[in-house]
Amino acid sequence: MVRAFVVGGTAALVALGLLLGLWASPPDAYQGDYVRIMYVHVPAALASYAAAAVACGAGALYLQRRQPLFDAWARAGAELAALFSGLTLLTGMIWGKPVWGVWWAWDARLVTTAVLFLLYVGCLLVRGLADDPERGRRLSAVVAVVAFLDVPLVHYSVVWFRTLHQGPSISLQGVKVAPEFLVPLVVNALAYLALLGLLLAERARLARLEWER
Amino acid sequence: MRRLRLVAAAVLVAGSLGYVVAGGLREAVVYYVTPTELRSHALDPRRPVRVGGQVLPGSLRREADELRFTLTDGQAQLPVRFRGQVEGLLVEGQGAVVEGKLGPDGALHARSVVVKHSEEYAPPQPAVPRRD
Repeated sequence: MVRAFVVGGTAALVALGLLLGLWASPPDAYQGDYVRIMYVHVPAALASYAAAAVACGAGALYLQRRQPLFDAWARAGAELAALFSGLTLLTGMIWGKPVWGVWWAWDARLVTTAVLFLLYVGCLLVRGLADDPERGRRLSAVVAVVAFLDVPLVHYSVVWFRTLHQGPSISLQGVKVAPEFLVPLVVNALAYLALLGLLLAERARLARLEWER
Repeated sequence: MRRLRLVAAAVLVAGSLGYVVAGGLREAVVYYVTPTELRSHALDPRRPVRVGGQVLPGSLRREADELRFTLTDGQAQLPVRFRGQVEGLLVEGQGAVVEGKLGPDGALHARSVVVKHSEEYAPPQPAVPRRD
């Protein structure tokens, strides 16, 4: 009953986000309809940070307590961090080609994001490649904890380094996004975080079933 | 408990390593130099440079098969010549990053022109210039 409510609520939020992003949002003065890619790109990046944080926290707890529950969440977090950082890279490239004129640039934001994606792919690899499953679980937990250090590097790369990627549109220094774009962006961010929560819980549940089998 | 301390130490080491690397990279990892920096550095003209700035309003024009505009950082100005098609949304008053070699004429002969988008998002207004 609770699960049906959560799934339904998340689906409604994702649908609302799509509706706002595709129809309610106006085109941008400068980049036109390409602005709509932001409604996937930014929420996906946020979701990848959150998934990385879950993988880091659960990984640390697993290393300390060795309980299957923590391993399950660390695994779910790592998989979803890889998924959402991959989606961030993909949507960024799709936006970069028409607006920047290039698919890719070797600037600090793009490189640290690619590193984030590779770190979580690596985290999943060491789990699968280890001969002893317990060793794989511990190694991937260590990678998950250390990999999280890249998250602040990704986020502040545009502030700390001089990059092609634009600086933060929303920060403590102010909001440089007009309300017409801000509302769809916030709704989509919430939708992606809700979707992340749902996927995390489902993936962790599956991982625990696998463990018990 | 021993393991926890080990993990804490590993995080600490990796963290400080990251901090040092980031601090060192801060100077090294600049995707482009500004026209002012370009002017103050003695550059080997054979080596390509990447320069970023704003497309000076009123400077963008196409002559035959060559695109010309001036990059500025508010202080120095750099004339740019580019033979080719810009694939991004190049607009006066917005950012651009150009890569190429400085010619004897003082202009940068660009091999590539990439658009740098601002972090501002606003709905269209009649006065806002559209793309070139």
